[in-house]
Amino acid sequence: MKKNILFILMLFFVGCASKPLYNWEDNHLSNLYYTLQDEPSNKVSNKISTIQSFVLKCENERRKIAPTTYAYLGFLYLKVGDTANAFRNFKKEKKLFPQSSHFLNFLMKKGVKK
Amino acid sequence: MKIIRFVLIEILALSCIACVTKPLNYTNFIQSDPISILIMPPINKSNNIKAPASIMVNTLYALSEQGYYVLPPSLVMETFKENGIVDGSQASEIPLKKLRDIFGVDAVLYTTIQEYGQKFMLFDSVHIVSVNVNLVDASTGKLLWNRIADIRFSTTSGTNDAAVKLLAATTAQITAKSGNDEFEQTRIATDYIYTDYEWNPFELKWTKYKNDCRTCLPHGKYSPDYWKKRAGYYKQLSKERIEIDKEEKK
Repeated sequence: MKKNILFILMLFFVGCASKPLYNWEDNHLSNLYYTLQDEPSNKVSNKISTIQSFVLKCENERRKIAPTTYAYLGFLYLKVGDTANAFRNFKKEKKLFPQSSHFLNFLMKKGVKK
Repeated sequence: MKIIRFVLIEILALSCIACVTKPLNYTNFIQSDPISILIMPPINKSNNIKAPASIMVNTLYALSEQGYYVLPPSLVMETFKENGIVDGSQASEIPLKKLRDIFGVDAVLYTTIQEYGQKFMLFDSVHIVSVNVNLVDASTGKLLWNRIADIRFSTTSGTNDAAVKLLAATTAQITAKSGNDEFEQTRIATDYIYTDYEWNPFELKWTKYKNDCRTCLPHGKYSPDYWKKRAGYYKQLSKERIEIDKEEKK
């Protein structure tokens, strides 16, 4: 009897697994994992188009985009030398998460000087 | 009879002193109420060179879902690299003021990796994530929250053999959901560290708490369970801890 109750309780808790706060692009985290390990960046343009279409989809469906998604997209644009698109995404990140403003402003100021 | 009763009460009393985990003192955390966090590149004492990247990325996920804003690791690491800083021990020497000037964060998270990765045993393989984490106020340098976590879990599905049972007796042990990928498995560990889990010394496993975790990182502002909604609870825990510390000093 006790075991049964325990089992039912367990099922209950499994069913209650909390939903994530944000929508994360499927490969955002694993791509970032390779980026931080300095993998050769030949696939940058692929990554850009994947994240770009993810972002578009979330914007259209008004779903919550995970923090740092725009910033990572901006980072990838910088890698291919597209400062305009990089900055456009930094601005979106700042708007969504004002806590990033200080650092992103610092980067943009530096970028403009270059 | 009396003796038996006395012994019984004694046993009850003794067992109940240790009934609950010693709470954390949240006083500094309550004062600071951090929203943005800079994850520093971890100091890696393991011999796995992929450990820092794996821990950083999974920490980004866990802390974001816990309601904090984490500064984008891609851009943060790029900035460090441009300034000649390539690993955690170099980064740990940067003065807080400098970090605050560049990154403008409320808090800085320092991680030391003691052990990381897959270990193959006779009957089983385990994934190990053993870390010390310290969340520090970027303005005052005060320690806001910390945890020492030694997480080991079985990565093979059969959990009935002797070796696994033995393992379960000393450390956390669960069966990984998918694959054999160290990076994906680390997600479970960072969940244990940063979301509402606490090591339960009586059940000998990491346990998820809903409202009564005594050492967990409180939820940040972006979470629907923002800690301020239950500020009284954290104040109560802090009081308890201060009392315990006083008792122990005597």
